[in-house]
Amino acid sequence: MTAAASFLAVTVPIEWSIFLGLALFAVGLIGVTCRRNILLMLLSVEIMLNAVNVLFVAFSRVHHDLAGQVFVFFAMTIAAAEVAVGLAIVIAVYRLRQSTDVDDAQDLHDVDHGPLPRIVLEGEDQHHHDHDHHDDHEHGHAGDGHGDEAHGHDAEGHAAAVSGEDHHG
Amino acid sequence: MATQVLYILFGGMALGAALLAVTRKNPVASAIWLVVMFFGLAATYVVMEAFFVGAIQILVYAGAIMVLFLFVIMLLDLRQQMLEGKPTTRLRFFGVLAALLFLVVGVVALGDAKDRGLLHRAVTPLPREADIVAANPDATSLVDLPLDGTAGAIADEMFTRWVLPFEVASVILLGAILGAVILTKRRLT
Repeated sequence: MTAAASFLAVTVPIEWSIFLGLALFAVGLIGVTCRRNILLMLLSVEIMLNAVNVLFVAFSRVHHDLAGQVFVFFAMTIAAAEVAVGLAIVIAVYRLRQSTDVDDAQDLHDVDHGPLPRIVLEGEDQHHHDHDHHDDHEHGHAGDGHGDEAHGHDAEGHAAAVSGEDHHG
Repeated sequence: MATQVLYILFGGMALGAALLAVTRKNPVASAIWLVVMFFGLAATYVVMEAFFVGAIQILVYAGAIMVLFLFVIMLLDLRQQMLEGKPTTRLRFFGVLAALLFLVVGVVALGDAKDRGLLHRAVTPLPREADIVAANPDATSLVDLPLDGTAGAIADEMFTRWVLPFEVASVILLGAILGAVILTKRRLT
């Protein structure tokens, strides 16, 4: 028996790979549920995607079908796309809220969590003045403190707070 | 034997690094631990004879994706926020519970599958590899053997059987690029 043959003779059991995949997925699940920082949640999603990749490679090896390893590349492609769009969203949210905490971005949520960090965008938004009126009674439930703030700003004739822009854009 | 020791070593390294990555308070430390996890997984892939996947894991994940992460983390300067941590004990409790439940159910199902003999194929030496070894009697190391998982073998598979998904993946990447640019633009004019 050659050196290569003896190296291959003892292979890694498939259950080790399955366990590694399960454990990594569980760790990623803990990260997604326990961390409130969007960046850390994205990072945990990466761990979960990698757990799936481990299983792809392991089963590709057991079944002698390279399709599993090809699909790892597709999973990496999706992961890269997800990270690019996810980090773009993080930057957009941070620009509005000065925060990466998911609890600070609950505009689409019905429950009132008290006043949110104020949204201020530089520049003029004159076309929003027409919309703000019907916007307030249509989307008034998007957080009471926030809606009041936007209303007050309109009455004083300041630059429109951009709560309307979220719903339009 | 050597493969099993290496697998446990690098698999354990990946698992430990993943645990550290999700528990660190400092986002930069989390990202660095995730890089360690990517390297551990890449070594695990190599032990599983998926050589090209291991190389791409380091190039794409540890090289490109983590640089993007670190770039954004350092760009946002999160030092203020990681200090104030908000109490989310209930969600935290149920999150850990769900993850442990998932792990326990998975391990029990795994043990059951092993008891029924569904996993026996992997424990015995794989037949095709035995053939490859027999066909190359003068090979002294794995590098001399035409195994699965090399760049050529994967290219053959990807550009024949999976060429349409490959093209779709490129369209998805194009969409992601456009989405990222539009989302980060301050003002669409």
